[in-house]
Parts: sequence; C-alpha cells; structure tokens
Amino acid sequence: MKIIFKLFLFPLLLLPVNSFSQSNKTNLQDKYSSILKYLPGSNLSIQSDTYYAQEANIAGQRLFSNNYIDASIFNKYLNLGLRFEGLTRPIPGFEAHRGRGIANIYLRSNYKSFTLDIGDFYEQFGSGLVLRSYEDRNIGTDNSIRGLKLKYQSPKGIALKLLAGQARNHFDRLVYNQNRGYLYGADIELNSNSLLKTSEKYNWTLISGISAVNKFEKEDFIIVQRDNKSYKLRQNENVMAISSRLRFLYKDFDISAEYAHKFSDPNISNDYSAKYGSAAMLSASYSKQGLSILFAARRSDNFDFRSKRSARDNDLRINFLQAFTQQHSYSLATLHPYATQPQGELALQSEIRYKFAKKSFLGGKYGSTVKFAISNIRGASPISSRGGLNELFFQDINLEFSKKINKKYSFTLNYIYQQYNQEIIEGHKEYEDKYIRSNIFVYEGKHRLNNNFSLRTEFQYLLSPDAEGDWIFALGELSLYKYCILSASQQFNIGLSKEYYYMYSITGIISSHHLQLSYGRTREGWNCSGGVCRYMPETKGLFLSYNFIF
Amino acid sequence: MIKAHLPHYILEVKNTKNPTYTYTTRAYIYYLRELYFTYIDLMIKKLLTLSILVILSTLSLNAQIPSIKINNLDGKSFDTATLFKGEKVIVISFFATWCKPCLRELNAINDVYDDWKEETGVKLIAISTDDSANSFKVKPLVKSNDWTFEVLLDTNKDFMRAMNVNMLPSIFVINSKGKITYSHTGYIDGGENEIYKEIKKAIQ
Repeated sequence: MKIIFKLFLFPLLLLPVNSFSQSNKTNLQDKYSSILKYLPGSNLSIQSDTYYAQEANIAGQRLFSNNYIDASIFNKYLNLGLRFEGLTRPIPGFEAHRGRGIANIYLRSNYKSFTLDIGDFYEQFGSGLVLRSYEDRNIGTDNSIRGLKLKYQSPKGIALKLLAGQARNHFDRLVYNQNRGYLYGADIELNSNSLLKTSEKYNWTLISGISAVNKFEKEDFIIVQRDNKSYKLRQNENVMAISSRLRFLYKDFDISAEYAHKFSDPNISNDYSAKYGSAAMLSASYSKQGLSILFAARRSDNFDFRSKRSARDNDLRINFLQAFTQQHSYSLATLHPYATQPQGELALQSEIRYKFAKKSFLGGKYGSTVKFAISNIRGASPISSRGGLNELFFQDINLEFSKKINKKYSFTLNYIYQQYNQEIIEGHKEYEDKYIRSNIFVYEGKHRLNNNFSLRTEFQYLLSPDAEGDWIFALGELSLYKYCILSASQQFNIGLSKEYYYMYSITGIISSHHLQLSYGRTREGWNCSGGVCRYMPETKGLFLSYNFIF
Repeated sequence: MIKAHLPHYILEVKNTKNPTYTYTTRAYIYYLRELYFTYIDLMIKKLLTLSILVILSTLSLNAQIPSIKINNLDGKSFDTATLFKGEKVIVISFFATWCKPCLRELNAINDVYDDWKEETGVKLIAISTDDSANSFKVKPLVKSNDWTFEVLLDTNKDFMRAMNVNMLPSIFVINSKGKITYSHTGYIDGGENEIYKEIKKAIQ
C-alpha cells in the first residue's frame, strides 16, 4: 500500500494544483504581479518510471520504479536547487544505482563575472578528455562532483574555472566518503574575438585553452602478477592529467584540435601498468547554406581516468571519451551499439549533408536532404590486452535520403552497414566469427491525415549472415488531437533465434505533463548513450512513465 | 482510556495480595513519547512533505528564466536571463543533434517561422544540449537545414538543468517580462500550431 502511494499517488497529488496553475497562470500572474515581484523564481520537474513485471523475480518482486524530483528556487544572485532520487527498488538494469535520498544539492551564486558553486556540480573541460562530469538518467550515470567550483568569465574573452571535490558514486556517502579520494582541477580559456581587434575586424576567432586535473587516492593493497611472481604494487597517490586545445573559426570553417596527457596511473583497466596515457582529437567542419561537411578523428591510448583504481563499469569516471559513431534512433540500428574502448582506439568519422534546393530536379516542391556518414574505429595500442594494433573494432556506413512530397506526406530512406567486433566490445564471442555484419534498410513515412490526425510508420529490415540472422521491425504511431499518441511495434527474428518482441503504448501530453503507459517485451542487450553503455536484462510487463516540468 | 494503553509502565505496586497500580509521572512521559513517535512524528513528516509540495507548486507560478552563461555558435557568451529583454515574446526550444523528434519540431517551425515573426514578432532560440565533444556537429546541422533562428550551445547542460528539463524536445514560451507562460515536452506532428496559439496568448 505504502509503495503504491509513493509510486502513483505522489505524482498525482501534484497534478490538480499544477493543472490549475497552468490554465490560470497568466491571470494569476497579472493579479498578483505586485507580490510575485518579490518572490524568487522557481522551477520544478518530476520523472517517475515504473515497471510491473509479468513474472516475479527470484525475490518475488514485481514492482520496480525509478523516481526523480528536481526543484530549484533562484533570484538574480542566488540559485538553490536539489534533486531527490528514489530508487529503493530500481528497474532491472539500474541495480548499481539502488538507494534513496537527496543525491544532488547546490547553492550557486552569481556576481558580475564570477560564479561560485557550493555543493554538487557538473563541469567539463574542453571536449571532456580530462574532465567531464555529467548525468545521464537513461544509462544511470551521474558523476557529479561535490565540493567547490569558482568560475570567472570576463567580457574580454578570458574564462577561468577552478574546482575541487569528490565525485559521486551512486549512494555510497552521506556528505563525504573518507574511504575514497578527491580531485581538483583548473581550466583557462582565451577567446581572441574579444581580446584582439584584428580578430573582430576580419571576422576570425581563435579559442585556446589549457586544463589540468589531479586526483588523489590513498594507496591500496594490490597484488599484481608479473613473470609468475606476485608483487605488492607500489602506487602513486596523485595522478594528473593535462590537456591543451585550440579552435579556429573563419567564415564557414571550424577547426579544432585537442591533446591530452595522463601521467602514470596503474588501474584495473590497464592491468596496473605504470605507463603514460595520451589522447588526441581533431575535428574540422565546413558548412554553408544547404551543405555541410565534417570530419573528426581521435586516438586514445590508455586513457581510462577514474577516481578509484579498481572502479569498473561506468563508476567514478573523471573523463569521458565520446563514442565516435553515428547516434542512431532506429531500433535495429541500435542492436549492436559501440562502446568506447579507452585502453586504445583510433576513431574516424565523417559526415556530409546536402539539401537539394526547392524546385530543383531532386528537390521537388519542398526540397530534400541527403546525408552520408561513415565511422571507423580500430585498435591503436599494441600492448593492450584487448585488441591488437589496427584491428577493426567497429564500422558504420550510413546513407540517408529524406523528402517531403506534399503537405500530407514525407518519407525517409536509410541504409546502414555495420560491422561489430563482439570479442573486443563485449569481451567474449558467442559465434565462430568475432565480427557481426549487418545491412539495415529503413523506411520511415509521415502522413498528415488531417489537422488532428497524423501517422508515422517505420519498416526496418536487418540482413545479416552472422549472429542471429535477419530481423524485421515494424512500427505504427498515430497522433490524435495533439494530446495523445498510440503506438505499436513488432520486432521479430527470422533467422536463428525466432525471438519475438512487441510493445504497445499510449502517451498523453497535456502541456507540461507527459504520461506514457505501455505493455510489451524488450530484448536484453546494451543500452548505450554516447559510448557509455549499460546492460539491460530482458523485461516483460507493464511500464508507466510520468514526466512533468515547470 | 490512557491507562489501558500503559501495561509496560506499571511502576508502583502497593500491597502484593490485592494489587493496585499507580502510574508515576515518568510513566506518562514514556507514554507521551510513544504517542509522539507512533503518530505525531509521522503526521508532522507527512504535513511537512505536503507543505513543501504545496509551496513548490505555488512557486511554479513564478516560473522564469534563471541566469546562466552559455555560448553561441561563434563562441560568444550570453546570459540566459537577458534573452527576453527587448523582445515581445520568445520561444526557447531544447534539442540535440541525435534527437529525431526535436529535429522534426524545429524543421516544422522553421517552415512557418517567417509568418510567425511577421504576425507576432516572436523570436525563437534553439538550445543545443549536445556535449562539447559533439557540439561541433551543431553548426553543420543548422546550416544544412537552413535554420534561420538563433541557436545557442549549452554544452555543460547548465541551462537545461536550471530549467529542470529532463526530456527532449522541451519548449518554453516566455513573455516580455521574462515569465514562462507555457511549457511543453515531446513533439507530435502539428504541435507547432499549439505553440503558435500560446505565443499569441503571451502577447496579449
């Protein structure tokens, strides 16, 4: 009873009050504007995901839920916010994140060019090669830092950041965990546009930055095997990583480069080796109206940087190596997603987009767009335990064409070729060949039936000589009166496993309330976001998800 | 009545053959403590939670834009609290390069944006929530789609968090006084017409 109250009634409690405030908001604001002037501004959001399993697990549990409430109040100078997380019995796959309490609380103060954060904060230096703390609820990662952060951003183009604190590791602390270490860092960035007159005059911009992060962790008792003998590992308590970056913008060109170096950091991912780590990144793009070309490359070697030497999975990451692949949203294209291998990889990606102008031969009345993207990732570390030099880890080639025929109908065609090295990415191989090759064909159609009804359909076919064989996926999504979406999807294997997955859902959107009820069976596998992956067990049952913001 | 609840706190027994029980003041203090911990403590906690919720809900009446510094595509810094200044009404839309519904929504608005501007003077600001490792993809996307509205980069998701956005796309209509008059999450085809209605309301 108690859990039902917490899961369902609690969000509902807020519904009437806020629906009322929604509809009469403007009137009320006018009426009480004299009072409201002195009140601080505020924001509130709620996210509640519930899963009711059709079959109970070993412990006899059926009901699981993840709940988050964010609230903040602020005025011109101060901002106080907190987040409550309730995951006493989390949805399968989020077990590591079990816990309940105020996971994030901060006080931010602004004064002129200075910003001071006390409490939990998020930050990233450059592109995140040496430091990136962020939250991603979908994959259950949150490495916010608890401590102090001072930011100075002068109008003359100098930005300075100083921070110190301890990273979050799920719910393993009340205020500060003395058994773990801490980290501190600094970053400075200069922007020529405001610093130099010639830069503004000739319309070019040069942005350069340097950052350094140091982590402290007490010496552990670690035994390592070398030449069939056991040794007690001597460890350095301080590990530092530094990086420098440069970005140049001129007219339609944008080029940036970053290099990072990490000093000796024996940890579990490099088998307690004392060698240095490094990462280099280059990206360039050219874009003008209707056309864009971009190219990016990154090489990383022994660059897993965490707050704890023995941390595994997604725990306690300090830096973040973004996956250098296309982010797909079609389900069959995400069947075999890539996870970044920080021990050593060389990743390349390139993308060309072109929009055929209206009234041209291929453009038709409304114009059409074509996109070609390719990403290729290979091993880069000769001594890494996982993957030799130049071994192919992952490859993705994607050709997309979308076109609007008339006001009522538009479509997208997509061809994706993927080559997935299971041995490297998952650490084991299930089939004879370590590569899983798939050809994916996607059709997506959007029909505007009339002003109140629209229909979206998706047909996907995955053709593969490897692994489980061919897959078929179909989806229909009907939108009614802008408030409601009905959707049904079917996914089945016609190769080896003959597995069948389905999902039926109804979504209601009323201004800032978003409620989704669905029933279905989902496939076990890796749920990835930006190269960070979480294992999801198979689920079958009822899902209820509620979202509210204001 | 109270005494019936007090078997644990028998403190004085006079005359063992024919016992009569008396309760000392200490027993009553124990009883009150028990009463407090079983009922009142729980009630206070519930009342506190409720009042916090009510306060928070009423505070959402005063929803507005917090002050965060974010950059535009050329690396220039903007204060989000000043975005609405000098405008009749603005629309803020949070998106990401990988989010399909977001791109559908922005493309749909882009098609009618000129009409909207003419009729209401609205200004649309799209906020990319791609992280800094991916933000280099934003400018090519904007240019290749011919988007004519302003695009800002919230690479550290500071603004997104300050607005408590946890779903994409999320859209806000903000009037000339900087008050949020409407917010919406998710996109359904044709949803831009709903936004347009709210823009008109916000001007009045």
